[in-house]
Amino acid sequence: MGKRQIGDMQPFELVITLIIADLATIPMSELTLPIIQGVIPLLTLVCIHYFICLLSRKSIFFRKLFNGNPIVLITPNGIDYEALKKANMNFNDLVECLRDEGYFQLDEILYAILQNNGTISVLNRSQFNPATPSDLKLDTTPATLPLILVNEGKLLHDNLTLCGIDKTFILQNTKASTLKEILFLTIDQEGKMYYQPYHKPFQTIKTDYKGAQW
Amino acid sequence: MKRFLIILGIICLITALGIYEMVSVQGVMKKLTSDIRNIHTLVIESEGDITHLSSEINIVKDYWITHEEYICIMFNHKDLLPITESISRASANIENNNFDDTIIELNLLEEYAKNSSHVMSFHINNIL
Repeated sequence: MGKRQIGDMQPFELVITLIIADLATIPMSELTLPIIQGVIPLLTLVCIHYFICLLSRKSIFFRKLFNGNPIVLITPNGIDYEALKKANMNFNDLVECLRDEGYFQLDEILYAILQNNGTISVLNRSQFNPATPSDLKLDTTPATLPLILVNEGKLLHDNLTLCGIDKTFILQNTKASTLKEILFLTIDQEGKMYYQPYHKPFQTIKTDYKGAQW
Repeated sequence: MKRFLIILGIICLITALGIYEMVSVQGVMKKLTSDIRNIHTLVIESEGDITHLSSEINIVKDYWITHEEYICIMFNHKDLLPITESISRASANIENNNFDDTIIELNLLEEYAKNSSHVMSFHINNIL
C-alpha cells in the first residue's frame, strides 16, 4: 500500500488492509493454531495486492475495474444531480465535503470531483482564486527547498554530500562547539540556515553558501 | 524489478511449503495407515490373547509422537488430537486384552488417518 493513509487508499487496498488485519489476529488469539497458518494467508494477500496493482498499472480496463472512475459532482452548470445519485451521496454529504475543503459558496466552484478514494477535489472559478505574484506581475525570488542537515544531534551524511558542505561549516556558522548542541538544522539553496538548538530559541543564519541545486 | 523478485520469492516459498506439507503429511499418514492395518491383521490372527502386540502399538505411538511435532508446525493441534487419543486408547485396550474394543479402536484410527490425510493435504478442494 506504500505510504498512503487509510483515507488515501483505493477501495481494493482498503479491503486487503482490513483482511490482513483480521488474518493477523487469528493465530494470535487461537493458541492451537500454528503461526504459519496466519503467515501464509498474509503472504498470499501481499502477492495478490502486487498483481492487482501491476494489472492496474498496465491496463486501463483493469484500472477502471479495480479502482472505478472519478465522478464529477459539480460542473460549470452547477450540481449534477444524476452524478450525486450515482455516487450514493445526498446534498448534505456534498456540502459537508466542500466545507471540509474550505468552500462555503457553491457559486465559486467550477468543478467538484469525487475521487476513487472518497475525497473531493475542487477547482474553483478563476475570479475567486487568491491573487498570485504572476497575476500582479511581480518579480519574486525563486523558491528554495530546505534540506535537513542535523536531526537531533546527528548529521545526515547523504544531505551533506548533496549540499557539498561539511561539519566544520555547520559548526562555524552555528557557533556550536559540538553537534550535540544542535537539535535541528536545515539549509536552503540561498544559504539560509534554520538553527534550532536544545532549550534555546531558534535562529535564522545567513551563510555565504551558494551551493548546488537539489 | 526488485519488488517483482521479492513477490516471486514469496510465491516460491509458499509453493515450497505446500509441497513439503503434501509430501510430509502424505508420507506420515501412509505409514501410519499401513502400520495400523498390520496391527489390525495381527490382532485378528492372534485368536484371543493380544497383549503381546503392545510393543507393536508402542512403536506406532512413538512414531506418531515424533512426527506429530513436525506436523504441528503446519496444522491445528486440535485436528491431530483425535489420532493421539485413539492411539492411546488402542494401546490401553491391547494391554488389557480387550479384543473387541481394540478392533473398534483400530478401525477408528484407520479412518482418522485417512480423513486427516484428506483434510491436511494440499488439494484444490481444500483451498476452494
